[in-house]
Amino acid sequence: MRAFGYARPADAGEAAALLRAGARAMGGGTDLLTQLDRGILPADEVVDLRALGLSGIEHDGGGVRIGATTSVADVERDAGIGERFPGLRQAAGAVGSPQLREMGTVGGNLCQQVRCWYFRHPDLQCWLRGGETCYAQIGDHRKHGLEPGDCISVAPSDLAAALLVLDAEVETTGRRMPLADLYRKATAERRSTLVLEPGEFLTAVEVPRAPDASTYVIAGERAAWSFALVGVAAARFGDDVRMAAIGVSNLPRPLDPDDPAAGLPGLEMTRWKRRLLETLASDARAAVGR
Amino acid sequence: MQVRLTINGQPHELDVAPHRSLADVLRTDLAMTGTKVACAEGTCGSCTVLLDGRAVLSCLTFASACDSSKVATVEGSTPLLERLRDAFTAHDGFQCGFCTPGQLMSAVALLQRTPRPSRAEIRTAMAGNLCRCGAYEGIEQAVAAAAEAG
Repeated sequence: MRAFGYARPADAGEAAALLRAGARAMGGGTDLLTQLDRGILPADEVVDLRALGLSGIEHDGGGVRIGATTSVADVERDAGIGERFPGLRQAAGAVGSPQLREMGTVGGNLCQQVRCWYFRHPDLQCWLRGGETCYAQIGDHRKHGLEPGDCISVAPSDLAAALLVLDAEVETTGRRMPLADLYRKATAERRSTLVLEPGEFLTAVEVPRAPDASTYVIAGERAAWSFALVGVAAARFGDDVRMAAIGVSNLPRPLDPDDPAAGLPGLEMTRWKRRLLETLASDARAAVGR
Repeated sequence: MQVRLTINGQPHELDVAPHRSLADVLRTDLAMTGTKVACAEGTCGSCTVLLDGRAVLSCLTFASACDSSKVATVEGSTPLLERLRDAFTAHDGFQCGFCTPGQLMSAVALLQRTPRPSRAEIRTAMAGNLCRCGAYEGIEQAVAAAAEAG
């Protein structure tokens, strides 16, 4: 089933050149390889970014810089992150299973594809994959999003929620931007939830300063190894509380702490998630002390 | 692609197609069938091996990406692995045994990093290995017993 080339460049310029049309960037490969094995968004070449020297965690002043190919497990185990960014550590610990955290990279986690059984079905070409129909909206969407749109699948990155509330910035091969700007609603012309251009990939994530308090709370189907049904991150800087959620929209979504479910009406089959979102938001808010 | 691997302390030099999984190369090219593949998509943990000390899923790892790495599989023999094997037997840490190689390798990774784990740490570290026979209680006891015996 796998019929693609593999390159492991040692230089970022070379990697960018290899990432022409038909090639896809790989961090830990845990999402990408399962997509390729099912024929979802096929590629003729996989470009492994792990030999570019982009791994490592640096604390400087109040902030932290995390290289894009740093493993999620290394984020979870980093003493400085645990001490100053507890919400980020909790989010890292909520990712997948222990093995997936060892393999998965921070950049890959932030850029992973939506979880939707129609999107990931080998025999369907849904709207997000370039087709005509969002099968979820005419089919079974119990675990899908609350936000109306062309696609109601959900963004799964626990780290994205935790980093959004910390005002993280991402650095790519060509630019620097707030993490929030990495994500954009897919359109009829551009069926992707990421703004990255061909050849562009994440090189690092930076958090400028530590919050006074932060947390990440998740509800899954099991206590371990479960994608978030809903995950809510909160951070407090002085009196200012920031919140963001995953599992409710096809982008990691900032929330209004005073009205977390605003703009997230849901459908008949997903409305149960509103209560879950409100409960988790209330727990997260209590945990950061406002 | 030429790949040099040290597997359970033994050097190997292999010529593998770039997209082949480490699990496939171990089982097919090296006849090391102790590593089991069940789901082949990163869900079950039965193909867990150690790659430079980290517990990883060999079904989602390219062999070609492991050049110059150290791989440890259930075929190895270290004092820690032997202790775990004894403890899994003594505490009924399996029934059919298909998931056991992966369970053992996750337990090795845990005890190498955390020689005296709490019960909660054991449950967290073993959460990526499914057991359809439901031997979880025996597995937890076995890992705790192996830690105490160390």
